[in-house]
Amino acid sequence: MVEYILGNYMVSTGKISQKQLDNILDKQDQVRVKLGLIAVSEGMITQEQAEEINRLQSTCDKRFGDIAIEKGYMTQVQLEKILKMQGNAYLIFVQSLVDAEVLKAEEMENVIDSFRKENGYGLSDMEIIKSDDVEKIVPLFLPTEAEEFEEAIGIAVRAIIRCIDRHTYPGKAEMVTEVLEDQMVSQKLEGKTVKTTGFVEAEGGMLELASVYGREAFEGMNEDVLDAGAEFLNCINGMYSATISAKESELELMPPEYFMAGGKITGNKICRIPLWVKNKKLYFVVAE
Amino acid sequence: MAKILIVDDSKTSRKILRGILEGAGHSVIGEGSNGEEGFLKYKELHPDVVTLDITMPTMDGIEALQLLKKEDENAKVIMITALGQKEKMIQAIKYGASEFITKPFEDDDVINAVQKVMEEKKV
Ligand SMILES: [Mg+2]
Repeated sequence: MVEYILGNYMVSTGKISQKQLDNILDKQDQVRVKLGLIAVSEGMITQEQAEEINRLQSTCDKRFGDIAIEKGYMTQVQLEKILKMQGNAYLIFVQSLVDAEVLKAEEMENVIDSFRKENGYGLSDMEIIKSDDVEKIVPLFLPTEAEEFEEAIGIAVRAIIRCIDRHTYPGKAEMVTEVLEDQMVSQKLEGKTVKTTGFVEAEGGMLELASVYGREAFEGMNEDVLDAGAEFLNCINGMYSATISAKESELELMPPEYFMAGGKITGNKICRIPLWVKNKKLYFVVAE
Repeated sequence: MAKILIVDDSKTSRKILRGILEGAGHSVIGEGSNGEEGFLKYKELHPDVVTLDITMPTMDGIEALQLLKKEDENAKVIMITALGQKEKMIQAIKYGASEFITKPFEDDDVINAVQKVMEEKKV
């Protein structure tokens, strides 16, 4: 995630070109080794166990390492060892920039510094971004008023990363008074209070998401795209409901709805966060 | 190989399920897009197994399950659900559901659930 956040910032400020970034990210993708592969090749778990974990991962809000430990396939010490072997995504990104001769290592500090100031982040926030820990990065993109939505948004982003596109990254979220967009999907969750969540199409992100979830290469927006988007939203809300029900009462999922025109999400409090799926933008919305 | 009826309000889910099941050599003999349609198709087609979505408008999967079981107490029904719907799952068990599949669909989960139900049927 860190390489996409910083990489796109560098493109937007003219430090590097989009083409340079695409090349670097492509190469980096080929080099970055999956945790499961390291664990199997280190003899910590079997291939069957790795596949089992991958399967479980798609239906629940957990990381590979968490499931491996929970199942007793691996110890915390073993997990830390393979995480170290996998390497830090930020450093790999810097190395790739330097190798491609688009940037000198010492220039990176300036990039980090201006990114930090422009976004109003502190030094510790930058350490979080460099750590590439999705769970901690997402809250940095939320306004303080959205604190109660942190969990729902975190679950959504992690689910998209696991099930749709592992390079998904967020932009700055904002509080809005209502969401009025033509093409969107939404679902109500009824518990102690009623929440609504939704995906709103922006610049093709919904199309990308629907194509992966629906197992079909959709070419343009239509009802089938929205139906696939709505079903994936239903899955995400199920994961959220499972998390909430462990703490308070269960949330009942109402059938999801979709709109080709005149979609609307209302509530007393609404947060909208832009997400880039396969580098195409859509919004995830939570309202209460 | 099983003759299967898919009941789901989402076209996407019906399409994915059909793909997985046919890919494993089963035959999907019908589809229903809501509980009532599913019930009517069941009476008409007599499938070996029904996959029944829980979250559907007008008549949800729990209500449809009760109808199916009243019509045929030996009906083999696999419930399709998102995570975190424990109360609905408890109801489904009470009304005689055979298996559960959690969305998003994992091909192996779907195939295993059908296989398990078909083995039960033989006994
Ligand atoms: Mg449904």
